[in-house]
Amino acid sequence: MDLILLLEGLKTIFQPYNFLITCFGVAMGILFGALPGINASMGVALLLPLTYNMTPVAAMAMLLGIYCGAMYGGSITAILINTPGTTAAVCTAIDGYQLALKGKAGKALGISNIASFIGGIFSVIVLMILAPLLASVALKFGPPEYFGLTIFGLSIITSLAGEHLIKGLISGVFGLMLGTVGLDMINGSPRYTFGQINLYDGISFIPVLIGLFAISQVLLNAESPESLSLKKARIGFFEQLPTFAEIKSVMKSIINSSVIGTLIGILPGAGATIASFICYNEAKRWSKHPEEFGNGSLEGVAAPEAGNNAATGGAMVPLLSLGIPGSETTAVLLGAFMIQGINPGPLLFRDHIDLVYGIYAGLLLANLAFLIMGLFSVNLFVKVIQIPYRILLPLIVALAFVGSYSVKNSLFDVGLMLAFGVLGYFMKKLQFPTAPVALALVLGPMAEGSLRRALIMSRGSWLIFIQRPITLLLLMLTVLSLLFPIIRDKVSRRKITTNI
Amino acid sequence: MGKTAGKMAEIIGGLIALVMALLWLVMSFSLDQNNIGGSLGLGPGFFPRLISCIMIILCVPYFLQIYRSKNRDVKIQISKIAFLMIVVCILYVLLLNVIGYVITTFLYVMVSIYILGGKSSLSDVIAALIIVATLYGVFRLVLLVPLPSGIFI
Repeated sequence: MDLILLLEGLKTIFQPYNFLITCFGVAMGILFGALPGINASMGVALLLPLTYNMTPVAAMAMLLGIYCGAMYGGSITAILINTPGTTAAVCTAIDGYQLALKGKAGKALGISNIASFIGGIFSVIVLMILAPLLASVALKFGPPEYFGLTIFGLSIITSLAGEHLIKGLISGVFGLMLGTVGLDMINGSPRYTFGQINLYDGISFIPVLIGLFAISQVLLNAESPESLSLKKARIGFFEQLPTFAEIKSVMKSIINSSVIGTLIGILPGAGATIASFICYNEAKRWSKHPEEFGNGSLEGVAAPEAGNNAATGGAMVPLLSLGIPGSETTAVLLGAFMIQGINPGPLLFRDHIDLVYGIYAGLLLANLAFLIMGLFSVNLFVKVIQIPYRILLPLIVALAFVGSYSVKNSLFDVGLMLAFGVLGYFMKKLQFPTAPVALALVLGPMAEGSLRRALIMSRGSWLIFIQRPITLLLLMLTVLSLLFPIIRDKVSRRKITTNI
Repeated sequence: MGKTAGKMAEIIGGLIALVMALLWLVMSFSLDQNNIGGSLGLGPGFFPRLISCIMIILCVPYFLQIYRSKNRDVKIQISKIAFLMIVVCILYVLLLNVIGYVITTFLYVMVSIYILGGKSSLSDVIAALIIVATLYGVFRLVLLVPLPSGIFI
């Protein structure tokens, strides 16, 4: 990590436009996070089209602002009305709502905010140290290694997505099939385009993303479009500030959760939600007062919140250094890079190091921004999220329409978005996870390209994948990650039968 | 309110995946016929063939799982509201180039608000106007994205 470059990055991010756009992103993120049924990946996908004409730093800073803001925002509704705004805030609701019932909502919100901030900053520091190291290793990667990496990423995402391994795999393979649509990457012949010129470039990623993540969710929400009604509680500023003793009591949990959350974020396929659950459980296990968990324990709020924000910086590690998205939201961020014409990965560190440090600075600013916004204007957010869903949902759809249109000025893309929205709706109904489709759509062509290039390198010999140590390791990890859910199911089933 | 499906829906879903995989598989052979770079390694048909075979193989445990879980019933309900929303969205796409962005979007928002339970009160109309104005302003004027203009704006 180079401090001079970091200072340059900070200088860039504090330019008025970049500063404002980051804060805008954070504010939007808090709103998206707080609103139940609307989450970070949806928010990033929806506002992604706004970044077309932005500089790379501004674009990434805004979108990362949404990501970080949403991880804090989810706790607002979790605490106030026991309805987590994002799945990453489910654990926060357990103790947070209890605290609210005892009249300590402000305290819970304050702890949540501060814990999120500490977790987030910690993960950014880890990112700044780890990403360049990984990138320098990856610079030596050739096509076989990239094949191993993309396959590993695909396997983790499909196997961890959802409870049913088979359905996750089917979603993933479906995404792979979609990825083959378009002109062949090596000899240019059209594949699966069915005569549609619009498909020659492949199935446009952004409309699919917006459709799968945003539209499908809107359709689900449409089934019960009641609006939230929060009590007219005014949260005072000083209410939120914890006492010295309170900080001391939660500090250990926050630090533990920051570490755990960052590590889980780094792992492709595991993100903020899993991080929050694990951090909550670990905090309970190591707490001096485990009996308080479930009854309004401050640790019970601090731990998952630190964890879910720590996962944001962690998830950026594989994205920046390897170009592999590890979660829904980072897959959307990958799309943002693609729009800017930049490929994340080791070459990013070689050719666009200023952008990398701009991203670091943006993350630092984003974390600071939600801390301040949360402490000073939480009441404003509470007011805004009471917008009726009957107005909010059409707004989202209208935004999705114009966003998808603006990619290529193409109504075909809008139709594509709608088709995938409806598809995603049915997939969710049938409990097929949707994230693997989007990720496979991106990783599939990468995998195929690496595979074919590797075999050209080896002149047709498949042994190349076993002869190169890193590739072999990655392929073994792939097999492990596919077996993991099966083993996990067998173990839990055995536990059930032995307990009878 | 709405149709209840269950296992039938899961079966249909699986069949769609299966049919798609078969389609991909069959078409993959004709892809290789066009392959000029046969000596350059794998042709364009290899990967699609591979993944469609994997999909077909995956369908076996999938259908088995459905067959075995006789008691667990996945209740699917497609609500009328969601269905209406989809129809309105389709109309939105179709009319965009005909009537133009601003009016179509305004109509869309108004109708959707109504479907979702609004009573077309004045505040709803104002909200719709604000939405359309903001989107038009941001995308057309600030980002300079040309928006579909039909007969009207």
